[in-house]
Amino acid sequence: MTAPPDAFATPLRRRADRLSVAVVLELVELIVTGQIPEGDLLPPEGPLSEHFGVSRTVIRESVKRLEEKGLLIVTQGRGTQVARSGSWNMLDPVVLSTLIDNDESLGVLDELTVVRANLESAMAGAVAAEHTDEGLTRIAHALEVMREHRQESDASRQADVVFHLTIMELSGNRLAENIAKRLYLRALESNRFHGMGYENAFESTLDDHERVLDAMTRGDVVTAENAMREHILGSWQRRRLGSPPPKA
Amino acid sequence: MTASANGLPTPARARRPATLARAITAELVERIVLGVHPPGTPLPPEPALGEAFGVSRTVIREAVKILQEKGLVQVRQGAGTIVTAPVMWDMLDEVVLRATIATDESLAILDDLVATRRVLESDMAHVAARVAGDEALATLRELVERMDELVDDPLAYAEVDHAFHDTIMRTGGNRLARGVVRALESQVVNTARYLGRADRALCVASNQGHRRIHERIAAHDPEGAGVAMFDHITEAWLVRRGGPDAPVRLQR
Repeated sequence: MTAPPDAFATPLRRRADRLSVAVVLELVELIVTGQIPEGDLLPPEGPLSEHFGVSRTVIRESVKRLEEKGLLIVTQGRGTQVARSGSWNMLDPVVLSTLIDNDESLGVLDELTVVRANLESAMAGAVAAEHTDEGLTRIAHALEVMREHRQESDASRQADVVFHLTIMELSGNRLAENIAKRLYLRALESNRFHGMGYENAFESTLDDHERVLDAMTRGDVVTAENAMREHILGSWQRRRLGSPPPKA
Repeated sequence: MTASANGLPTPARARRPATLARAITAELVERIVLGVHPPGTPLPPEPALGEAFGVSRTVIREAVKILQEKGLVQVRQGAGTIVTAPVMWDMLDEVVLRATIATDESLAILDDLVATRRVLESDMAHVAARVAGDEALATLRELVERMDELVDDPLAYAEVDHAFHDTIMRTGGNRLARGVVRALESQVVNTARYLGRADRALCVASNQGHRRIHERIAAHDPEGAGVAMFDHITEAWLVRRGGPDAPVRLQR
């Protein structure tokens, strides 16, 4: 009882932070999975704080976080509205994770793979257009490391990732690199992204990578772009789980 | 603009108490993007920051929390608040992207943005040509006709232009790709370097591009639609771009 007020303040604040993180996760999931549909109003603070069993302060804090992520629009006098999905910040770590974790119903990995294929193909083209010996050596090295493993293993998978990340970095396109890298690294944490093994997965990945590097070495932009695109889309089609995506 | 047209109040951002933390956040984001606080180094401690900005520690704490959400810093027990590597940054976040564009004196970041946007949008036009129904096609035609009438009013033109591109993205159906493009777009529409000159001749030329895209989508010609979108975005940027250095990264 004699402890100074400060001794209480810190742990309480930490607890409020933790609660807010949990509420944010839950609200993001409710919105991203459409359980609270786009355009709908969020229930008022009172009922929300009752529902989550937290204070109104924690609710207010969490709403602020969701506003930052583009999921909510707070308008004075009109309450808090769920934003249209076109305004969501899809690359926000929490939003992206929630999308990927609900892939089974949302199909976001199909979309993510298309975005990756487009961005990485443009980046492969950029490397082909401006290739330097030093850059090509780095890419060739990643390919060589993978080849030395002779079959699929954690180490070969890592070399696979390094191949892709090196090309992104060498493209010099900071925006495309940032977007593709974040999508790719987050997707790699998902079992559904790895999908199922397929016959000759290792060999066909090596062949694909070789084709990309070969086109870059020749400075052949269009072939480098196409080879990268086909590699990303093709290997996803072979390993993805569940029914084939709607033929769009 | 739409809000006042509806007679609804505009969001009262400026009046909200969180504004102070946002302003501090924007300032810190800019410093980090500029490299004043390089990746791997700690931010100054809370009291020092509070003093420097003349705000309370509560406001600083709030601002640091927002920085953390945007991936710019990591709070490590004992080590303080460390600036992360750029690849961890959420570049599509409006504050981060705005600071990145604002602090880049060359046109490189805008060239990169255009190269990123056009590859995604041309693929979405490709898909749209396969799946577009009568309704989407009618909307696109209407928008092209409306833009014909608006070539003397660049501001109104820009709004319909935006709707045209968004209709194609919605038709394409890739929400993630659309989200990326919209985030990229939202931060550049207000920068003068991106808009450049906007006069009648440019609007006329740009709508020729739109007409071509609509025509290829209506013909259900995916390849043609993709190429038309790619060329349109490239040309529209190159005529506005100017600048001393050649747009090397936009070559193909």
